[in-house]
Amino acid sequence: MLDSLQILFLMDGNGPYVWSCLLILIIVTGVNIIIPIIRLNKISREGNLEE
Amino acid sequence: MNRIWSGIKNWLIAMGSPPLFYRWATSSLPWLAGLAFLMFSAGLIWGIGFSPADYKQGDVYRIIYIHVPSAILAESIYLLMAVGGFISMVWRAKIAGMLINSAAPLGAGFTLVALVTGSIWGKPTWGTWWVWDARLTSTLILFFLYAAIIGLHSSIENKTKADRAVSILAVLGVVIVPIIKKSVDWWQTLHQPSTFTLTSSPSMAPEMYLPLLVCVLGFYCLFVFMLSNSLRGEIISRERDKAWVKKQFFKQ
Repeated sequence: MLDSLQILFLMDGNGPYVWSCLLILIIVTGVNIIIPIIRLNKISREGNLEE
Repeated sequence: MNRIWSGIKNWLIAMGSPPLFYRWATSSLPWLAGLAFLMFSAGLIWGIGFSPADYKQGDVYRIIYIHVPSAILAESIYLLMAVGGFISMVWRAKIAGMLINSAAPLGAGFTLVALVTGSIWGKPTWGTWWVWDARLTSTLILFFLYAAIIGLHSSIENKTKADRAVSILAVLGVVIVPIIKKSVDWWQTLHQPSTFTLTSSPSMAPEMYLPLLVCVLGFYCLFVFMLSNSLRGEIISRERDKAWVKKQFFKQ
């Protein structure tokens, strides 16, 4: 089990290329999901204060 | 068949109304999130973890499962924005302007992922991080177009005028999409020909092609979720003084 995980992680020396691409995708996608949620919460807070 | 089309048409017209779209997006968001997460993870796990290695490139080719769907979305989002720009200019639909403003950061994000992952893939296969090749350069121009749309919209205070300005830019800039698509045919490039074509069967083995197809569908699902999520914020931000927002959104 650990051996196959290690093979998957290392990918014959290509692992760093593949996993760094996945990390970049997750970061960029995460930022694009979180920013609108933060924005909506901010508007909600400001709006409720005004009310 | 006619009834289905008229149903779709009526639904699209209804979605042009910000309150109706907001209500639809709020109720569908958990389902969209679930579907996007399922498809997105299934495609990536299948492609990166279980598809066979390429006989020439080895395991590094697995970047295709991130790079190709991101590049397809980068172009598709711009096409959607151009359609939105056209609708905004011709019918002055408010939601179309909001759509451009919400889709632009998402498109810029996917273009950035396509550029960076392409660059990372280029190092072990081409021996360089970057070449001023037609496909790479035209994709970089697409990224700058997204940045220009975001910058232009935020620099104009009057949102109606900002919508009009970015609509014109989105419609004019759409010329970059066929240039990117055809760049590998029109110019001699290091970049390989298109992976997905409508006119010929795939050159990849089914064990590699099918997970790629699932990845592309997963990325589209993710985009629909992200766009609905972002549009909700845009609608509330612009309509915050309207009675329906005060009633539905505030004092919940």
